[in-house]
Amino acid sequence: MSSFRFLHAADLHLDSPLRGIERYEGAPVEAIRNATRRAFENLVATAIAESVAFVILAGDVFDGDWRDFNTGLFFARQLRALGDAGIRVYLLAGNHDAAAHMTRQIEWPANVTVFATKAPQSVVDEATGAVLHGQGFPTRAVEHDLAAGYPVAHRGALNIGVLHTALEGRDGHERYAPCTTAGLRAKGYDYWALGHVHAREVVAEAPWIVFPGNLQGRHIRETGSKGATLVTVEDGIVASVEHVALDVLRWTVITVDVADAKSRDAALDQARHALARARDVAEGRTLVARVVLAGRSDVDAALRSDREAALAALRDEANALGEVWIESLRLATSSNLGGTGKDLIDALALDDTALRANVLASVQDDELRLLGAVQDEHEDRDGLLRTLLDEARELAVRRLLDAAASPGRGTSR
Amino acid sequence: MRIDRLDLIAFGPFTGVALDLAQGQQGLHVVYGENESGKSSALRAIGELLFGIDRNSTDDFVHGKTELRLGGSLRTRDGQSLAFVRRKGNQNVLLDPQSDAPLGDDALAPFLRGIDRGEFERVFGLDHERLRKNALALLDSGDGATAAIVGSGLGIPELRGVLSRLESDADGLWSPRARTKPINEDQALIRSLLQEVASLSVTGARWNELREAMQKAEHALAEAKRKKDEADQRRARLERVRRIREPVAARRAARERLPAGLIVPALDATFAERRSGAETALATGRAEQAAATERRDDLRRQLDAQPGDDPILASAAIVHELTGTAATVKKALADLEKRRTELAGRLADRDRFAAQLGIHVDESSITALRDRLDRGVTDPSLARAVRAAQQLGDVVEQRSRLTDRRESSLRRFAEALVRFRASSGYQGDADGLAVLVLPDAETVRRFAARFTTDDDGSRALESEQERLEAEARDAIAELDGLARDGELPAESALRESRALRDDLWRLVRRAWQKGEDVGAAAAALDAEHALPEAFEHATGRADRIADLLRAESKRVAKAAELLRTADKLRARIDDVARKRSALADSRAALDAEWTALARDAGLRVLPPERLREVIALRDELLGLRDDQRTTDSDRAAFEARVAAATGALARALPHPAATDLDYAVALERAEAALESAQHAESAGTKLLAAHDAVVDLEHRIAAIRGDAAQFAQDVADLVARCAADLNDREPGKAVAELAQRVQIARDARTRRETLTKEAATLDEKVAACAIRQQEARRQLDDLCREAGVTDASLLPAVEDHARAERELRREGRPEDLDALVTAHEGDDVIAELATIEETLQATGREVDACTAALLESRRAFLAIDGAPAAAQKAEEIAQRRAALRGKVEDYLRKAFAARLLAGGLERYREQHATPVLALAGRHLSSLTRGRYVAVQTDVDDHGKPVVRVRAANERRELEVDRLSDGTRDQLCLSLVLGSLEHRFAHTEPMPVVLDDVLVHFDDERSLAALDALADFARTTQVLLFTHHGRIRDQALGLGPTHGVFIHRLHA
Repeated sequence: MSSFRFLHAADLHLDSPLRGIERYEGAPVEAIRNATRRAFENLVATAIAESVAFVILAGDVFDGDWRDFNTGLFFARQLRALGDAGIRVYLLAGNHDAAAHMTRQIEWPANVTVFATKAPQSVVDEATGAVLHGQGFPTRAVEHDLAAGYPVAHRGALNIGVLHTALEGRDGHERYAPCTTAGLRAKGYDYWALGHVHAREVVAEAPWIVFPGNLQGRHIRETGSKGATLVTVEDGIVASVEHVALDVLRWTVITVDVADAKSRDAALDQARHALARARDVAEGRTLVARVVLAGRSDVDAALRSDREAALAALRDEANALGEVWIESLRLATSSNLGGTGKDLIDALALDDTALRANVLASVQDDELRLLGAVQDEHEDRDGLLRTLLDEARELAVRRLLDAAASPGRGTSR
Repeated sequence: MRIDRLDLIAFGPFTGVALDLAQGQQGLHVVYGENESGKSSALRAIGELLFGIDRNSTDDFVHGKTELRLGGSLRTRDGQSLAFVRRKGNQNVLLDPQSDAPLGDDALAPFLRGIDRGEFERVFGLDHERLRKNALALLDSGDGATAAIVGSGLGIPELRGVLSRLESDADGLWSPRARTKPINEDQALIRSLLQEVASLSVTGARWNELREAMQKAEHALAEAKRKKDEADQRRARLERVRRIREPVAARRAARERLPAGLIVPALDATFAERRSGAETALATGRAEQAAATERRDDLRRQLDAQPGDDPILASAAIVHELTGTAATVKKALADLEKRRTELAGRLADRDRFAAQLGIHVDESSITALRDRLDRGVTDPSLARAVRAAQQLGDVVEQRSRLTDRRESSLRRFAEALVRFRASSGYQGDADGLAVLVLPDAETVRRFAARFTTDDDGSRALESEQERLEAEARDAIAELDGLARDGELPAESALRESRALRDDLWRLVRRAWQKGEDVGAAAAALDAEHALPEAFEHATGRADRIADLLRAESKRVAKAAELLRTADKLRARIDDVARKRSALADSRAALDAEWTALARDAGLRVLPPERLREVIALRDELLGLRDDQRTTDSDRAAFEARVAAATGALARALPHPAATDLDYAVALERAEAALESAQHAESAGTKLLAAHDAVVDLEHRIAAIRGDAAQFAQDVADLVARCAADLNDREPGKAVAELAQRVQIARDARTRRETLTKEAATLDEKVAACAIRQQEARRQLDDLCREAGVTDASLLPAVEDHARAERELRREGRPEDLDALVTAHEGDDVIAELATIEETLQATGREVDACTAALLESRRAFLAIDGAPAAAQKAEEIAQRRAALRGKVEDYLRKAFAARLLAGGLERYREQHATPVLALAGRHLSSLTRGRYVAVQTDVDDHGKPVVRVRAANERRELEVDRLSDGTRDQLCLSLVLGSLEHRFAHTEPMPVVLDDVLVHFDDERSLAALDALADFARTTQVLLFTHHGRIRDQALGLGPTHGVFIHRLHA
């Protein structure tokens, strides 16, 4: 029985852009350019450096309806580089790849095996004797259990199941190719190389059922270290499974409690310390951070009265730290409005449920389209609208208080 | 809350002033203060008491900033109360009035209920302007809702302003169909970026298409190249045939002209040229030799026909010389007659001058004359004497002038002497003048100056004295005038009378205290009165003078001034008089000095000016005497010169005369003698000149005749020798003919010499041509040997053969090429070539097209190199979207805020409309004594809510615009009172502070307003500040029974 290593990766989403980061003066623009490509180049370099026997790509190499064949040419070139190093590639189409026509147009190098999509296919890796079973997505939406059709394990060989699935279902992911852990176990394989879910997850260890997570986080909901799983086989048995970080930039959400801050600058100073800490644990990657300021605070008014200024100040802090990109500044603070503010809210019944419902109902189709054009696919629209309505109430009250306090309104004696 | 007491402890102009405001249920407190009473400070004090003394307070003009203090006592509706003192400062500003202990700075919070200074001043501190403003705000809101939304002090208009700003902020960011708003612009940008992504993207199918297209293009290019290569090969072969056909034919033709079997050697390319050169040289030599021979023979024939030399050539030199002589002789003979005429004229001149001198012309007489002239005919001493005498000029006229001068001088001297005697009293004669001693001019001038100075000083002093005396008279006159106006007391009189009084007093004391008898002393002081009366009299007089002095102080001062002036003038007059006296003394001394000086001269004593004239006259007389002497001397000298000249003339005369000869006669005779001598000398000179000319001319005529005879002889000799045919010719013409014959003989000889030389040259040329022909023949023999023939006529054929072979060898072996031509015998090579050329052009174009197509397809294919251009553009879109999201959220936040506020406002209006208007209607009815009974809302034509009032006797309602100014003021007060009343129904009331708000109301209306305010003050304390007595009086009329209390302000 042979000993070797292989790399398991999925969800490359090559050339899909990083979402939700606005470019600004001083931001580390070069650090984020072509991030998905560079992450994949990291994978190829790691495969060669680790002298792996083969690489498994468990679906979603490409991104949805991305049509530029340059992406495919780039991918093929990288696969050839692996071939030049004697490394085989076992590739399975995911739901995105099924949608991406370019998968069918690429001339695959000799070292690449693409799993069939009509029926499960078993391939013996001649050099190691390992048997890989897999079936790619023939269409975008596969809603039946593909694994059910996979053959039972070959005796005396290391059996690896390659599958693009949401298992029993995972938040934020379409429930494609549903299956159960028990169903997978029943096949008697040694390792299930799964794809589709972007968060790394070791579902089981006996046998190994692993989501490696995507190669590069692409928006604020894909935080933390991203990469592939390096599997070591010793004497035909999976000896170890370890995560290898391959991402070139890292997303993070930093929540700072500024309840005790006495001024806006003090609050931002707290944020800066938190950013510095997060950057220090980012393994040298550029950090893309969402900063959430929270807590009932006196600085709420100062922050809300000029959000742009607060954001600009935070960006300056990030630029000073270096290699930190501010994705956004979120104000989850609430204010000490004081008696007059409360009186206004009461007198005008601004918290009235019916009034709030009326305002939400007043949103026009044009406005919904406008919001839809800038929201992410899986983002909660109603939740966002409610948040905006809360902020609108704060804004209205702040404006009224400013009007009451504005100079020139005092009586002249 | 109400204010029970306001203590103006140290504030503005106030110190320890207190207003007791505790009376009444709540009470209408009318605080009356005239202008400058501190009403404004008191008004400010209420706000400062409740909310703190302003850091920049201007009420520190009596008490320093740190000393400012206010005190008060507040009470709420439910009975809670607080007494306190407020100081100026930042903390611990509220103090217990008893202990001065700090009460805590938030001690008033339970009384103020969240109302801040701004709101208090806006809502509860009302002057006329604020009243109107608040009421207008209510009217503007259209629904009569309360003036301020509870707790905020914001009116409906302000709220609407906030709403409108929110709406416009949102609208400024985005609207559905806008283009230039920020969000719309970002959307457009993203759309254009998406198009860029589409244009940068390429599909896999497209990539495959491009690859296949490139492969097809490669195949097409290969096929086109193959066809073109075939055509190229065929064309090359035919081109070769075309090139060699002519040399092959030439070779064949040459071979036919040569003997069969002749082996033709390969000749070099210069052979033909060399052969041609040799043949040309041979032919040219023959032709030139024949021509030279013919020419030479012709010349020889011409030479033989020429005659020999003419013998005249032997005498050519003599002919040449005689030709020159002939011209000279001819010219001399032509002048001969002119010389003869000239000789006749000269002879006549000589005879005339000889006659004048009385000489017979011959050799001896001429020699004697020449000697005489050489010695000189005229006497030089005579000429000198005449010249010297003539230089004296007109002697008679000069003598007369000198006589006149002497007489004039004598006459003037006599006249001057008479004048001198008359003015100086001089008794002496003319000679005495020279020894007369007179003072010198400088001394006299000095005395004259001193007299003048004295006179000027004397006049100035006199004038000064007159002026001062006039001034003194004026002062005295003025003083007299003052005295005429009444008794004029004087300080001196006062001193005197006081001294008298004091003296009398001392006497009184002595008499009274010591009982002395002082009668005498008293009488000495006042003889007229007894001591007591005298003392009283003196005292009275001193007092009177003193009084007068005081009463008449101006006159006295003036009189004193005039007296002082008069004294001063008198002193100055005395001074001037002293000076005049001194000056008179000095003048007397000067007169004495002058008189002594004048006397010394022995003349009459004269003033200096006159003496200066006398001195000048004496000087003139002395001058005239000197002039007289000079004239006498000049006369004597002149007469001496005349005498000398006369003597010289007499001596120089040819016949000496008597010594007493008169000057004029002597001069006349001498001039005549001089003229006669000069005449004789001139005639002699001219005679000699004429004689010399006659001799010369006679010599020249003889020489001409000799030359002509010699020339005729020489010509006759030459003609006899070599031209007998010219024997009878005139010698000049014979010489000319001979000269011509010499020239002809010379020309003939020159021609013979030329012909001889040319014939010799032609002989040389004939010989050279023979040698060149011989050399050419040798070359041709050599060429035949080289070509392998014996006959030079075969050489051209050999050459043609050799040339054709040379040409063919460039393409191949001549025999093979001959066979190739034979193979294509009968083909139309040119036509075939044209066809192939067309084929080649077509295939060439095809190759070019295929190459371009391949390049293009390859470029298109290679352009897809896997680069992430589209992906990077997609990244830019994502970044733009992120930026846009911030703006979209901002837009929605503002739009939501506006909608929330609009909804809230609508509801608020609905809930608060009616009660305020009802209350305002009641107040209006009260204020207008029932003329208007209600305030109501309505909606105008534009759907906007408006306020109307209803009159008691009319059914219709009036819009606010139609009310009079007075009624509108009443409506304003009603609305404000209504809104406050409504507000205080639910909340703790606050004192309402009114600053002269009734100022524009007439008596009836202000009384009604006070009534209404008193009514309003049942529930809310009202402080009405006024500085109008009318309001105070009307309030007094109502009095405490109506709940009206008057407070008067005193700073």
